[in-house]
Amino acid sequence: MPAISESSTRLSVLDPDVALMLAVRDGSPDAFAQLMELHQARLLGVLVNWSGNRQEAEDLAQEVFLRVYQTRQRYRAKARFNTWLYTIASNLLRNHRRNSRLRRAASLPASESGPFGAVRAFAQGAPMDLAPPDTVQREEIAETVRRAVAGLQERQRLAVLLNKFEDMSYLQIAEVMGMTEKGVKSLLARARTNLRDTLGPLLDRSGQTKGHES
Amino acid sequence: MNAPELPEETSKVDELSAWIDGELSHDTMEKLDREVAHDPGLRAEATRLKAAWDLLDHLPKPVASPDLTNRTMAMLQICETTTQRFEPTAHFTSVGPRDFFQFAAWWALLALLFIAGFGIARTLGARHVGNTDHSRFLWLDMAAVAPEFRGDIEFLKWLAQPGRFGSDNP
Repeated sequence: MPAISESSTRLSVLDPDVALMLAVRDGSPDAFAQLMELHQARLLGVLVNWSGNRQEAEDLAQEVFLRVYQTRQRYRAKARFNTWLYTIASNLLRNHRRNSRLRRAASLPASESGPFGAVRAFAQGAPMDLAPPDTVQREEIAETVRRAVAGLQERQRLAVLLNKFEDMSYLQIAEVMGMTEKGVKSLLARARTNLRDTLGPLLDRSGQTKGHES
Repeated sequence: MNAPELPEETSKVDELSAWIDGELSHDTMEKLDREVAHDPGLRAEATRLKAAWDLLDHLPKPVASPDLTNRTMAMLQICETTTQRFEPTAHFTSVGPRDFFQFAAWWALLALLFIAGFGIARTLGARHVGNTDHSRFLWLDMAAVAPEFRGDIEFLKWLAQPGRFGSDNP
């Protein structure tokens, strides 16, 4: 059993999931179940929006957790737990894509749509003046956004989802996807530009940018 | 529009996107703050990029199946059991160099026996072929001397007739 270093102890204080993962490494199934409960919803969110298929995403999530457990002896507390989790997920998705087993059917039930998490504060501190849409509008917006994300290149899509769903920094995304930080910066900038172009009509129609162009 | 002093290798969109995410160094961040504040075009672009990004809040937020954890834990147990079942036993894990040489010696002996057996079988086979040829000559010899034994054969035939001996009678 690997000894717990000082840095591991420090990191496990900063990130409680690290402490849980160290317990998993030492053979605690309860800690593993706890980790699953903590991360499965966000992981599923990333996988559903990456694959566009709910059942497939759930199978992938299960596979990711199985691999986390199976490779637990190799775990070293060098970064946040979710970096380890999503590195495994990213590798799995790469293999999955390579084997051409992923169907790109993007049919999600509208019932799963909804606002998602806190919005990152605009650097200038000015919040967006969003008009509250009614239910029909909301579903329409959700469908348009989902199509726009599905239209992104796979790597752009994964980077966007990690940034949006997991609130990962560029450095973390770089670690997960095996890229440089600069590469992630370019990848996300291109994704942003693509989204702006695809969602342009929606932005124009809903007038969400009113009052911000001084 | 005042052009921000950015490194040549990075595009303005990259910097603007990173600026929105707060992923720039302190100096570059301040530089772009000033740029955006004084350049309406740049500010409009930043606002539009951010508005598109904010729309991602409408992406599906799926809820995991209530039994996902239980199913995964059950699958885990199956995997663990399977792994244990096919794990090498203590007998094999304790195989050392001495056991290995013993094992190899047995195989070498078996191989030698096989080779020796093959060689013997081949030699005997060749001899058998030789014998067969020789026996043909032997038969030829017998055929040649058969007339000399003709009287004996007639005598043997006479002996073979039923009723010659008392024990033949029922």
